[in-house]
Amino acid sequence: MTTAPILSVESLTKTYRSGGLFSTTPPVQAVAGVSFDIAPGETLALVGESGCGKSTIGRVIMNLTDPTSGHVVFDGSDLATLDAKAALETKTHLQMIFQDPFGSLNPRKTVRQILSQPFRVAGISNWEPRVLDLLRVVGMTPPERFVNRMPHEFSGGQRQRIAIARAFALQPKLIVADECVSALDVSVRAQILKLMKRLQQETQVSYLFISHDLGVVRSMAHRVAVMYLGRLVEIGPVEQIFNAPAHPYTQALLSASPVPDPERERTKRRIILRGDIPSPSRPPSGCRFHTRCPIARPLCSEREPILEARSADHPVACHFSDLAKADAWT
Amino acid sequence: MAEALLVVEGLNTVLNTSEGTVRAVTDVSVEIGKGEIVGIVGESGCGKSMTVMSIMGLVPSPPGEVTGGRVMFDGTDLRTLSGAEMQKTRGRRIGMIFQDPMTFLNPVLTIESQISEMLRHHLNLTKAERRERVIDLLRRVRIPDPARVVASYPHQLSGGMRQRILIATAISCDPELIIADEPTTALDVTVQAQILELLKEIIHDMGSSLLLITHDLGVVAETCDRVYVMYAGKVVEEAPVDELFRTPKHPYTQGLLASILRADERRDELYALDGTVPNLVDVPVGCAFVDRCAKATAICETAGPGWTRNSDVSGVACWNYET
Repeated sequence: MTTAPILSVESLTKTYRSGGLFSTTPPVQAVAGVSFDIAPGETLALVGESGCGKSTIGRVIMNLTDPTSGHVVFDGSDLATLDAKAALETKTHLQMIFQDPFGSLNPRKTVRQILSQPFRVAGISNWEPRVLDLLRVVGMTPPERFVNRMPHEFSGGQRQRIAIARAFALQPKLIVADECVSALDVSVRAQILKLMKRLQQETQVSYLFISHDLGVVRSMAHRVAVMYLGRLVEIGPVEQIFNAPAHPYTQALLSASPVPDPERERTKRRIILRGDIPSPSRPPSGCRFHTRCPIARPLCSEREPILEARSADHPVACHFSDLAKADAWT
Repeated sequence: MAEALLVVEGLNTVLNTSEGTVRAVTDVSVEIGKGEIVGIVGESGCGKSMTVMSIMGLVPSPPGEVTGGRVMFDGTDLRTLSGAEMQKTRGRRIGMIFQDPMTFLNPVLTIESQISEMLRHHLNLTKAERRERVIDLLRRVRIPDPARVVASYPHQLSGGMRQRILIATAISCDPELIIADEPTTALDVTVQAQILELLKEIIHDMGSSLLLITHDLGVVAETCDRVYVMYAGKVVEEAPVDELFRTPKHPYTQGLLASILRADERRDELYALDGTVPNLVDVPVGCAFVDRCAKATAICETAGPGWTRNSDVSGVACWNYET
């Protein structure tokens, strides 16, 4: 990467303790030593299944929860070390879009109140024309028709458009989008993704695109990071991850994603993993994936593999990735 | 098509709400042959789940009401059966699998008592025979260590395990038909792959039929033999699965397929169907898809398209479809 990253996550760990003072429940290590960068104008997709820690990373970046250890450096500064005023200033360039547009918009406010809030917080007074502009940008025209209405009067797709408009109010540099189209129907999902792509081309915003949907990820992301039980298992350019996945978990994940093509579904090699995802409070020893891995060897339960570069921009955490068939799912 | 097991003809279901009458299911005709896996696919509010509820006699009334149509199951119209007779059919001859196992499973009962209840209700077995059958069922749905799992409670099991329990319950009385409403939507993709594989195998082994309700065209491609596509309460297209994906005829099916992003190809230009689904209180006089359709002509505004049958197993409801 030649330009400075807009976001650097360094050795991030987040542990949740459950129960009271005398609880015997082991703490849950939601994220364990994860590092990655995002360049300006880039989309990094964070993929994995339930409990892999992808949403926790989003929450730590947004400062919605503190990391147990590690750093988040946004636009050159560590948010944790900034004073309150500087942090507020920096954070205007860091926005989030949530999965549930029903929960993320205040049901008692009009669209005008919702969309003017970022401007009012930033001390911008003449916001009315900018609110109308935002609505136009997200395809809600004529804006006068929508601006006095309340969230419940809109469909899920329209609500997600309003949430995107709000995120784009103050020229964001990075948007964390956590499963932002998962609750939407296929036809509406495509509308929202198209909008997000267009806005990225126009503004050079970066996205941390958290998703479990590999179909969406392939067309949205520039790079992909795959997580399993709190660990990053593989990270690399999107076409390398999809065409030559190096980690057996990535291969299984790709092979399990159904594609809308019956012929292909009949002929593709299927890797069906054994069992369920283990509990993150009791992760397996050694490589966390070894209990379900089709190519596991004794070493895998003893020593945890480190994330090592296979090629310069495609590190993998697997002792035996040479044995894993990269074309397994095609 | 194989010999028909379930033939639904001209099914109509409405919901009477304070905002007016919602036409949830309009003139739906669906047929499932013996040993077939048939999908009903569509987006939220298209009427796919209401169709299933109507078939099973489970439409909550009020506000719902099945206003017309026949549901012929193995020669009998299920709509003419009494409540007690219908109860004997549900579970015994038609098994059901729902999206969320936690709402179906009773949290205070062990797995054994949940499945036994079904057996006690429908089959004449001794307690020991029931227990043996429960363990055998768990083995058939590949639950490891079934003797231990029978004594556990739903919360002690993972989502994938719970869905297996639901499948075990659904197949407990060897039903001829299984209806599964979004059975894998709440599951992670590696677990979804396991469950779909298991369902297909079990259906084939039992020689039963499966009606699969889903919003996911990928799941349809992986699982089904034939498909019905629903839009705004109506069936807009019917076809064998290969034909539907290779040569979709209805502009809605075409738009839906074009807007899906696939894990096996990257697209730089995204395609999206514009507009939204119409309100089913004021159903448009013409075709319900007219506002979003690129091929719409004057007639589409004024009259609903009839059903054009292209073969025994395929048809489309569109004035201007491509042959």
